[in-house]
Amino acid sequence: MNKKVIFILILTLVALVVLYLYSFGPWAGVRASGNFNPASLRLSDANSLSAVNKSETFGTYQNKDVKENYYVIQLPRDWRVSTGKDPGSYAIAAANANVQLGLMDVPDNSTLELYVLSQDEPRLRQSLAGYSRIEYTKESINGNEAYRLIYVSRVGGDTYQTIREYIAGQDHAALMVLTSKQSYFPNMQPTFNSIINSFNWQNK
Amino acid sequence: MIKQIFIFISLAIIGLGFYLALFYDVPDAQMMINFFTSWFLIIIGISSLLINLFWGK
Repeated sequence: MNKKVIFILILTLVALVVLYLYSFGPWAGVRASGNFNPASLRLSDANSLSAVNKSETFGTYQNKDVKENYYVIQLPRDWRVSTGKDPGSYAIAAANANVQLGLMDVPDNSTLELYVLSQDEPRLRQSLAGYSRIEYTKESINGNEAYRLIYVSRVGGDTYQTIREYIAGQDHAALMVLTSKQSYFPNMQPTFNSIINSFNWQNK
Repeated sequence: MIKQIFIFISLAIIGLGFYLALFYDVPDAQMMINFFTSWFLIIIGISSLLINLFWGK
């Protein structure tokens, strides 16, 4: 072995250590695919958003956390909106409703509908007590392919009704989960529908 | 002959690494392991190619 080979071996070893630190070590956070953008939590000026209706009861949020999946959505102004678990998501606290918005990854070798029916719904059926599907429809939300799953489930003796709305996107799909007690659901449904219908991708 | 086989294997490893890094669709939960595996292959491939080049010189 000559000096050049030894130098290459040392360089390789250093590169592998750096790679390990960058992948699993303390530098792993540096290369996250998306980051929480503070602007995503601010109410936007709806004048510039042609696809979204202006409203006094609804505020417009532009989510700019994940580069290929910027989106715009309207939420009631009196709901408390905070960031969810992952970039591109919101967790919303509201009276009589629990709403979660976020992005989900659909593998390229599957379609959104296949994913919903073959993976997501069976998972819900297994994990939720008293799961029962009420409705499943294919629809279009502002020109985007979408699927709506409505179901009931039981938590601690109460029955809850949930809308899961899947909207196909460029890289990730959007997932909205809007839940309320079954007795409140008829009152909440118009609000839920307004939220869903306000959704649009910004970089189609 | 052995040297040529070694170069071919090295290039194949580099090619596989770039394929995993650029074209392979990875679920979000496995992004990190894919990143590590692809760059591991690229580094090892380039390194073995260089070693092959400078071996015995």
